[in-house]
Amino acid sequence: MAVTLVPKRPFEVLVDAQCITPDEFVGKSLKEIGDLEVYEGSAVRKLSDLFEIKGDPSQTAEETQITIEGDVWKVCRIGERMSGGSIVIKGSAGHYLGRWMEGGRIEVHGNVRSWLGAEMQNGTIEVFGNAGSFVGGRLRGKVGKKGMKKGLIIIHGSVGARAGHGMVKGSIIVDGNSGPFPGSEMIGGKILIRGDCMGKAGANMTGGSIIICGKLPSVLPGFYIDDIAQKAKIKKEKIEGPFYVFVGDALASRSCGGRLYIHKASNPHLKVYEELLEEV
Amino acid sequence: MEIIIKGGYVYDPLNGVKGEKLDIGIKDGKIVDPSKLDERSAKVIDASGKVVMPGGVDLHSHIAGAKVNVGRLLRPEDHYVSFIKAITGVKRSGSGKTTPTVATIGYKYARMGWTTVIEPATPPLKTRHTHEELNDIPILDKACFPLVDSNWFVLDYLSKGEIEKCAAFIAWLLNALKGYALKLVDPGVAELWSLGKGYGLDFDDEIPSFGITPREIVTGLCKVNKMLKLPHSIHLHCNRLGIPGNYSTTLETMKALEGMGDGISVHVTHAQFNSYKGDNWPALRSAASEIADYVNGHRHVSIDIGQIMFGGATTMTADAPFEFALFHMTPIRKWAGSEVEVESASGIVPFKYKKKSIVNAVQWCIGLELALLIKDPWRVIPTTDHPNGGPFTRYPRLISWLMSKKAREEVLEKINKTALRRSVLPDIEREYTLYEIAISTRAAPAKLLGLENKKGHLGEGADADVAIYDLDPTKDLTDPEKIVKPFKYAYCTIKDGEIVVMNGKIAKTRYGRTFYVRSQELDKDLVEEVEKEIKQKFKEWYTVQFSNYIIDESEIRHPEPIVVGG
Repeated sequence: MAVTLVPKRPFEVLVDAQCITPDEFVGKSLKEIGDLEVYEGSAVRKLSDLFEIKGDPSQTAEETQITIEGDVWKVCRIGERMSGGSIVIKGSAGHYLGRWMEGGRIEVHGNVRSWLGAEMQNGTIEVFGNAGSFVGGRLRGKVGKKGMKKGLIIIHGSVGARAGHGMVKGSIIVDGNSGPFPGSEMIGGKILIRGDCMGKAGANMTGGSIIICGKLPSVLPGFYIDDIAQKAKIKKEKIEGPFYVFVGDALASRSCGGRLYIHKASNPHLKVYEELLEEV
Repeated sequence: MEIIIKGGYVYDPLNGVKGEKLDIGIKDGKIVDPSKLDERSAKVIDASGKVVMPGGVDLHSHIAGAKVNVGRLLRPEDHYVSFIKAITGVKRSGSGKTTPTVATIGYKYARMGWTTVIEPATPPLKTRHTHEELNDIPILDKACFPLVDSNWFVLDYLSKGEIEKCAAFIAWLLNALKGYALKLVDPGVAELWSLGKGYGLDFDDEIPSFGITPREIVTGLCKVNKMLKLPHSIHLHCNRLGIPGNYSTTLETMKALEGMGDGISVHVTHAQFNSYKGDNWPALRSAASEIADYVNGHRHVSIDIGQIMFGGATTMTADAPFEFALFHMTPIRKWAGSEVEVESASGIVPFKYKKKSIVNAVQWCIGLELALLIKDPWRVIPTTDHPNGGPFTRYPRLISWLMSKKAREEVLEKINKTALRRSVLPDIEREYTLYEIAISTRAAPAKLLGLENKKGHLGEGADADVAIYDLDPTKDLTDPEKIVKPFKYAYCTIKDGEIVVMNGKIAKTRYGRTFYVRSQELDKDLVEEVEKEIKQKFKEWYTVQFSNYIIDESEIRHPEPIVVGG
């Protein structure tokens, strides 16, 4: 029920391997899997040219478990549109991991490049290292409700810029720190950042909420303070506060549907906002 | 290379061949008498049970130029899911649906059996860019129409009434830019747009900076067109495009050219966008029957329909004020716009046509009504105004709607029901025959472009551009899918005597020619005088040097001048 891929050599240029998904492997023999087409740079290769393929494939996507033993730091688009099953990567992975994924689970025991779980529809992704920019993000050029729709992304390390860009629903949990612009243009869903944030949280957001437990240098001027909450909630997990609650972004929508939860104890410089709160 | 196409049902309207079983011979890129070719040495293509037509001609499709490229930049989302793979030695890769990349355009047209395509609007200053892109479009023959309606030289000469000088300028311009015909976009509007105005400019409104009206621009340039004996009539995008109630302006424009004598003709492009009745968008109604009645009664007008196709599109036109207004109407919040010094303007807005939208459903009906109500297929060309109404790749679907009432009814069931009451499309019984399709997609556009000795027919001496479709005209063609599929993937496309598509797949990449007009009609002294004036004004008006403005023949991959007059 499991297929194991072992890289034959270190990759030097980016590899487009959208065929590495449980859905593509279903009902194929090991040889047929080896014949799948991948692009290494501009050259067309077979999957078996780059990977040693072991194990026995199964008949449904749900039962298929793909394990990649080794570093695939330059291999992009793994798990694209996967509908079930699981992919475990024992190393680092490339761009667009789990893009448009519809179900199943991806586990990475290393770091990931940008666009992790971009526009994902459902499923779970867990990364034990760090991730690049645009985690669960909406692709370039698209507008409106096109971002991450559902599902869960857990990152035990830190993330780059614009995590959850344009996300519609679902959750992103970051145990480490975050780059600038987490939750930019967000429409719904939740983001939890346990570490520090570089700033500009929730720029242009119209809905959803962002919880920041660490330090935030400043709150964008499009946000108003609304309340002080004792607890914040994400995925049935209760996080102890107290938190400053901001609503916004007023520049994106007048209804100010977005919520920013900023941890009070880690952000003494935001104490000035408490005066504004008392006025109300 | 010698090719004989054997036993196909040949449709060749310019030579009056209506689906007869004939052989076609090809030698050295030209059509020849097949009996003179040796069957043993020539390549024989068995076309029995198939339809043989001349290569398709599209006279209005925005395939190259600055605004097309900005459209590509504006719409990365258009390129995520639609792409073609490279095959070394055969074809290059590419992507994009409504704004395809340069090479993709050539392949997709050839795959449908089209071999000549015209870029209908290029601002003169940006024409070098247009030619660079046209050079890189594989397989097709092409040409471009420079925009002249808001050019300061033209406005200046016309407002002073100096028609001869205007003609000399136009002759110089076409030669300098390697352009083919005159394109007018919402005459005069770009001049107003440079002041931030211009939305809804009507046919008799004055343009204050030159004291001239669109009426004077259109009639003036018509006279110029006749004077220079240009092969194509003026290519006119009428005033007030896309504004409800604009059909009266369209009629007014066509009437203005009525009594101007022989040789005055006009091609009203994407007429669907100019056939709207009603005072506002919710009250939009079809005015196709009024336009069609006029066209039926007057021989100086030809139109292309500019059909909309439900789904994604990217609207791009030199009518910048309209695009700015459209941007505020659409939920997709992005647009691009620009103004080209002295000459023109442009705007781009991504758009999606929806079946349930009353406005879009009425628009869909208007296009087909125009095509079906105008009786003479030589003067109505089915186009989608790519990419404004929809991508050109959906021509097969459009052909199926024209050829089959059943195909139209399938769509009519799904679209907004209120729209149906505002149009006469459900009552139209007419169905195009294959012969009429051959006229309106091949012979007629070639004739309107003045290329009828080279393109659009299969007589001896014509360019060997042939499309073979796996379609049996003797069988029942009421099922729309049986029409769509053969036209989508041509069985074989031959361009200049070489097989470029076989079984719906690209077999070879080659590069076609670019046509342009070289006019020798005018008096030499006048031309010299005007050139002197142009050079003088150039220093005042432009930020570029005069010498950098002129495009040399060496910058075009395969130039083919068409000499007129003299």
